[in-house]
Order: sequence, then structure tokens, then C-alpha cells
Amino acid sequence: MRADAVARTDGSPVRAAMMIALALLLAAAGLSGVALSRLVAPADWPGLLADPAAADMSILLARQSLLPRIVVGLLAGAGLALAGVVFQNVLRNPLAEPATLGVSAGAQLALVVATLWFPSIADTLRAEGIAFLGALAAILLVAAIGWSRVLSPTRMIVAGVFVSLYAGAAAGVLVLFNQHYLTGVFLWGSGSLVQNGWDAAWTLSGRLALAAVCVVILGRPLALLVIGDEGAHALGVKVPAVRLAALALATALSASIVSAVGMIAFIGLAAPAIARAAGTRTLSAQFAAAPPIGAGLLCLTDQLVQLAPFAREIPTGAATALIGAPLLLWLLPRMRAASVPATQSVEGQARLARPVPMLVAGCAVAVLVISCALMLGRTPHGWSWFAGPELAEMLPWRWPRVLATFMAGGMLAAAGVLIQRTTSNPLGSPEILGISSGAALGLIVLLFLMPAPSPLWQLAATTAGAALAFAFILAVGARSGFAPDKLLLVGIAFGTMLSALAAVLMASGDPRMATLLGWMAGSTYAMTESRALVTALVGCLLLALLPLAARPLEILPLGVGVSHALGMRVNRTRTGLLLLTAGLTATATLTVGPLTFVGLLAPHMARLAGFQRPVAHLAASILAGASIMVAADWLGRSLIFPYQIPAGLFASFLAGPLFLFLLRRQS
Amino acid sequence: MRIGRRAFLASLAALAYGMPVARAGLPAARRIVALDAPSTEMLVTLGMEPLGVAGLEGYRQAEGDIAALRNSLDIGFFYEPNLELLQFLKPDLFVNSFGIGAPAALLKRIAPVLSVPVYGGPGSSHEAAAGALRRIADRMGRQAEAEAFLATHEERLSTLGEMVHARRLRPVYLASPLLDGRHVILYGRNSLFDDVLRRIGMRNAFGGQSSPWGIASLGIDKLTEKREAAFIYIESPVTRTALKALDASAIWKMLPFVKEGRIVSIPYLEMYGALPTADRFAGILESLLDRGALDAG
Repeated sequence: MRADAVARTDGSPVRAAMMIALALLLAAAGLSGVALSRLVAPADWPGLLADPAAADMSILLARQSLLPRIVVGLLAGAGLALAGVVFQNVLRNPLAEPATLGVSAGAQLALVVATLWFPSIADTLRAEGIAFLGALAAILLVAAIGWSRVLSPTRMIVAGVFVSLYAGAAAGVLVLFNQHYLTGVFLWGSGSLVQNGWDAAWTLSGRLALAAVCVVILGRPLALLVIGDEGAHALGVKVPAVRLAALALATALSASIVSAVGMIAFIGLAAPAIARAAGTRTLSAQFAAAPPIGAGLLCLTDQLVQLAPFAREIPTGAATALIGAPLLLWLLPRMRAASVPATQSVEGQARLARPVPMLVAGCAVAVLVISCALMLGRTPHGWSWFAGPELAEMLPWRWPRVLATFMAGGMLAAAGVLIQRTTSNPLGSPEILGISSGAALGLIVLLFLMPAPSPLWQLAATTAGAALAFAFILAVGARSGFAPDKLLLVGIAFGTMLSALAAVLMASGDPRMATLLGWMAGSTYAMTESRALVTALVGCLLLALLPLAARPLEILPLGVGVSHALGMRVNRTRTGLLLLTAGLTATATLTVGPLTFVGLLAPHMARLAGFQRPVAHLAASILAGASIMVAADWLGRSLIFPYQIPAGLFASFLAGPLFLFLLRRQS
Repeated sequence: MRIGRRAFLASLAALAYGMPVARAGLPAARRIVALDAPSTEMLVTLGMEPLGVAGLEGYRQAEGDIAALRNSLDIGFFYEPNLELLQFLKPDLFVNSFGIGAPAALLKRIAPVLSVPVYGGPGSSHEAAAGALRRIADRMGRQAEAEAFLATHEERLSTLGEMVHARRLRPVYLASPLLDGRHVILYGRNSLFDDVLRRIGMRNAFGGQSSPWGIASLGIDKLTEKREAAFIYIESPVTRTALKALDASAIWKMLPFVKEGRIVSIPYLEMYGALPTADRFAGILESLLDRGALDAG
């Protein structure tokens, strides 16, 4: 009777999940059939496999390009889903997958480095080994940060996403430096399933079979981990060994897939999520249901990409991101509340009794950084401190950048404080939550509509993008009680869409894209006096509104009831804060691009220094953020003189290790 | 002090203009900065020694040691030439062909900008390249050198045209293989190389859509349209790896030009070059035709 009930509750969800998988696979098969019939008439299909020596080019294409592509799509999709299920269960984290853990990016970065410096390693096995080393380094780093004594799922994902972005930034710089031959075009960015033979299919099927065997062996002990480490240990499971083995398995599988087809995001996340949404609970059910769903998803996406009437090839990895991200955004509000604990306190331990002397010290640092940025620079003869008429000549090139980065850093920091306090999420920031990405998406959409929009239009488009992204985040947050994982998912979705679009632009090989890509990397190169002044003016207006936010920032975290009781119009206040945050983010993103992390870092630095009350926290964060951005811009244009590293990219490099350190210390 | 020096240099330049004898002795009398590779090669062809060159490091890597550039300074990436360095160098003139990177409005504060676009215009890139060379020569007072170069080039093209006319040649794919062993960059309509092929009456096997600057990146399975075509690839530091990856590919092995051994490698050429690149390409074609490498049947 009881066994029967169990079977029914678990049986029908598995069937539901299988139906989804079947539907996806059928759709993929249908589209594949359409593609195949364009090459070879359906009547001749039996001959495809029968006659090995066919010289007909279309049969050859079907056999060596189209069919292996379908198979590789299925295998890679299934493999990513499998890796996703393993990662998610071992790390007890519904968001874990090769892309969000930084594993794919680590593998890809290792491949880029190897290709650029050791171009002789072309054969598959060694490339796979190198990809594995990169993936391993990434997962170790992420685990080290997310796994100190207690396992913190959110922290781990943030570390993973950060490692991904960091690896992407590093690869971006490497590609920049080697752009003379345009070798980078297909080096970084999105996975492509284009095949010209069965090699990748054979390799992948071998790896997948091996992984499946391992999963069968590890399945039972892994399933027992669900009841908790102590319980599993009591049942005779060697917990650390099982975890380690499972992680190694998923990492190796991800590395193989990256070395075969490049980076493909979302499949490892979406397939298990869909399986769970269909109701599968047990691990074995997920192992059964997720891989077919992943296979169907990836293959279907790939077929859609091929059928789409685009003049040039869209990388499949970019397409999964472009299709998957909105899907994720649509699914998010409908997902069950996650098991991850909701909010963490934004307040730190130590509180400064008298913040003013520290603020003065902060001002001194800011002044020092600004004077260096204005007066110290490089010439062909080395470093030189400019003064007098020479300085007067140089200043018009320097002050707009200094002013603009100062304001942008300050605005991002202020936005970070607002976000962290309104969502009670210590990891909230314009960059992590995708508000910067929203702003950048707004600009890209505008550029598709208008060839050369005026600065005012640009500001309007970025503000609209940022406001939409933040409104979406708040809507999702309100439904889920501001569960950090959901908010982070939104950010990941926006960020992935943006990098997918960037990959499509990069793959075009058009040198005019360099300017747009430069902006996306955070270059302040084209900053003019008038643009800097507009940024400063808008920035000062917005920052002047911040004191109005002080009271709501103290009261809102106490809850809606208390806020009402204290006479606050909660909705109106929230909308006001939202618009302020969007405006700050948009103005800053226009100046320094969507990737800086200063909005995350500065509020934390201020908080760790002991600034707790909203106004002091805001002031200190703005000082810190502004100083970091100015320093990043200055160092970025001096260190590898006469070449330059974009300020946003360089700020991420500066902020990265510090941020990971903070993240680890937060336990 | 500085004004004095600049005035001195300016008077030297003025002298150089009027006196062909003095010019030979003072090739660097004018302080010119080339903002991209096409401008660089045009200046070098006209016998100038640019003061600064964008992306000089990569250019030297690709093109080898060029005497005229030995004293030039690298001024940074072509899309972000270092403005502070340019301010420090105080050149007399910027020459740009890409039109990407530093906005002319900013550069004009330092020195006038001579803008000579080759790519992306309405007409043929080859004609634009010839016009660009003439315009630089006009500005430098080097019309004689430019006309001499153009005359040799035209002569070479018409000789080539006659050679092509006299034989039956295969259409050619002109490509730069990419590292992944699955894609190639193809030069198509709007590219300088395609214009040269047209001019001499050869057929480009790739007739598909290309970017406004004349390239397209495609999977190698798209290289089947012209069965009789030959495949010419431009060597670069990455081609060896790229070809090794291609050799492992079943589709590649089955492509008609691979099976029948019609793959031809040619020395490095700038992807977006100017007339000197076009001339070098023509010279390469000439030797290929002499060798009979592209003859049909």
C-alpha cells in the first residue's frame, strides 16, 4: 500500500518529465528532418547509412556534418544536464551547473591560453586534459570560497559566476592583444556545434557512457547524502570521498564538453530545473529525466539556430543563452520556493562610533588617487609627474576620464548600497543582479533601432533597461520573499543574455564592433569634456536625492507592517528607490560599461570599515567606489603603456580577488 | 623653446616640399602618425617614415622588420591610440583609413587628420584604395611616387588580365582558416582581394553575403558550392594549427579541392590592407599563374 503510494507519487512526475523530454526530442527530430530533407530527399534517407563510399556532396554533408551535429547536440545536452544534476545534488544547490560554477569558463580560459601560447597542442586528448585542468582550478577556487565549514550555496554560485566573468575578462584581454590576426574571433565566447566528422561524437559518447557508469555506481551513496552528512555517514557512506568523486566526475564531464563544443550555458541549469518543475524529487528520477530533457533542449535550439534566416552563423552557445535566459526569467516566478535560506543580515559586526574621522581619511585617499590620475603618467621615457604648461596640455585628456570614472564609481557604489539594503541581500549590486546588464541591453537594442543615437537617447535607453531589470528583480523578489538565489538567477539571466549578444557581435569579425566591445569592457577612452560634464551633472543630481532615501533605508528592512505603522507609503517609496537605483546604474553604465563590480565591492568595504547607518554607509561607499574607479582608469591607461586596459575590466581585476576574499570571510 | 623647435621643423618641412634634392635627405621632416595598418603601408610605400604607428607591435610581428618603421613609436591599439602619448609626441598630421578609434574631433586638437577610407564605401575597395594613396601623396607632395606605384600596379593588373584571359582558370576561394578547424574567414564582395580578382577577370568561388568590409566567417561545409574551385589560404602564425585541425575533419578531407590537391598557400597579407597589399596580392597571383597552380583541368 505504502510502496504503491510512493511509486505513484514518484512515477507520474517521472512520466511527466519524460513527456516533456519526448516533446522536446520530437520537436528537435522534426526540425532535423526538415534540415535533412533540404540536403537529401527523404526517399534517399536509407542510403545515408548504407552506402559508405557515396561521392555525392549532399549525402556527404548530411552524413559528416548534419547527422554528427545532431548527435553531438544530443550528447552534449545530456552530458550538461547530467553534470548539472550531479553538481546540484552534491553541492545542494539548485543553481549549480558547469556555467554558473565557473567550470566551463575555467576550461575555456585554459584552452584559450594554451592555443595562444602553445598552439601545437591541437590534438583532442591533450586539449581535453588542458580543459580539465582549467575546470579543476575553477571548481577548486569556487569550492574554497563557498565551502568553509558550512556549505553556502549562494556564496558558491556568486563565486562561480564571478570566476566565469573573471575568466571571460581575462580571455577578453588575451584576445585583444592577439587581435592582429583575428584569431580570437572564435576563441572565446559561445559554443558552436558545427561538426565535420564523427570524432567529437565518438569522443563525447565515450565520455558520456563512462560518466553514466560512474553515476550508477555513485547513485546510491549520492542519494543518501540527501538525508544529511551525519545520517549518510551512519549508513556507511564515506561522505567526503563520495562528494569528491562526484565533483571530479561532473568537472571532467564538463571539461570534455567544453573542449568538444565550447561553452554552452543554461542547459545544465534548465534541464534539471524542468525535471524538478515536472515534479521529480528523487535523485534517480532526476538522473533519468534530466539528460533526455537536456539533449532535447540543446538539439532543438541548435536546429532552430540553423533554420533561422540569419545571414551569418549564430553560435549555438549564444542561442541557448538568448533563448534560455528569457525562459528562466519566465519560469522564475513560477518556481517553488527554494530550500535555500532566505535573507542574510546586511549589517556587519563592528560599528564605528564616530564615522567622521574615517570619512575624512577616505577623502584624503580619494584626493591622493585623483592627483595621481591627473598628474602622474607615462611617456616614451618612463613615468613622469607633469606640472606647469605640460600638465595644462595633458589635463584636457585626463580630467574628463577622471571626472567621469569618479562619478560613475560613486553612483555604482550608491546603487549597490540601495540594492543591498532594499533587498536585504548582501550580494546585491548592479553588476551581480544584472541591472548593469539590463542597462547595456537597453543600449544595444537602441543601437539596433538607430544607427547613431544622441547621448540623450542613450541615457534614456540605458535607464529604461536598468529600470526594467530592477523592476523585474523586485517583482521576483516580492514573490519569493527576496530569496537571494532567485535574485541572483535573474542577474545571471540578464548577464548571460548580454554576453551572448556580445559573442554574436564578436563573431561577426567586423572591426567596427571594437568600439562597442570596448565600451562593454568598460573603456572610458572616448570620454569628452561635455560627456564627462553631463555624467557629473546627472550624477550630482541623483546623488543629491540620496539623503531622501536615508529614512526609508532604515525603516524598510523592518518589514512592510512596521513601515506602514511608521507612516510610510511603502509602494511609493519602493518605486522611488527603484527609479533612483535605475538612474544611478544607467548613468554609470553609460560611462564605464556593464562590468565593474565596484557596486558590489564598495558597499562591502565601507561596511567592513564599520560604516553602518545608511547615510554614513552611503557616503563611505561612494568615496570608496569613486576612488577604485579612478584608480582603475589611471592604472589601466598607464601599466601597459601605450596600450590600455579598459577601466571597467581593470576594476574587475582589482576588485576580483578582494571580493572573493570578502566572500570567504563572510562566514 | 618648443615653439622654436616646431617652427624650425615646419620650415624644414617647407624646404623639403620645394626641393626634391633636400627631400631625399630628410624623409622624416614631417611628423606623421599612422592610425591603422593600411595608412602605415601607404606611408611606407610613399617612402615616408611615420613618427608613430598604431598597433606597431602586431604589425611588425606580421610583416617582419621594415626599415622605414625602425624608428617609429607604437601608439597603442588602432581602436584606442594613446591620446596622452599623441599629445606628448605632437605630430603634424594623422592619417587614418579605418575611421575607427579616436574620434577625429579629439585628434584635431593635436593635429589635422587626413582621412582616407578604403573599406565600407559605396564603390569598389580597390578604387577607394587608389584614391586613398593619391590623397596621401597629394598631402605629402609625393605625387610622383604615388603615380609611379599606381602605374606599375595597373600594368601588373593588365598583364595579369591578359594572362587570365588566355587560359582557363578555376574559381578560387580565398580564405584565412580559423583555429577551431571548423570555420574559415572568406574574402568576398567588398573586399580588396575580391576587387583584384574581378579586375583581372578571375572568379571568386565565394559569392555569398559578406560584411561591408568584405569578409564572412563560415563553416567549412559551406565550401562545396563550386566543385571545381581551388582553395587559396593566407598564411599567418595560426594557419599551421588551423590546418592540422582541419586535416582531422572528415568534411574537409571530402571537399573536392582537398581530395584533388588544389590547396595553395600564399604569404601573409593584411586582412584589411590598402593598395600595397593589393599589389602584393596581384604579384602572388602572377607567380601562381606562372606555376599553373590555378589552371583548370
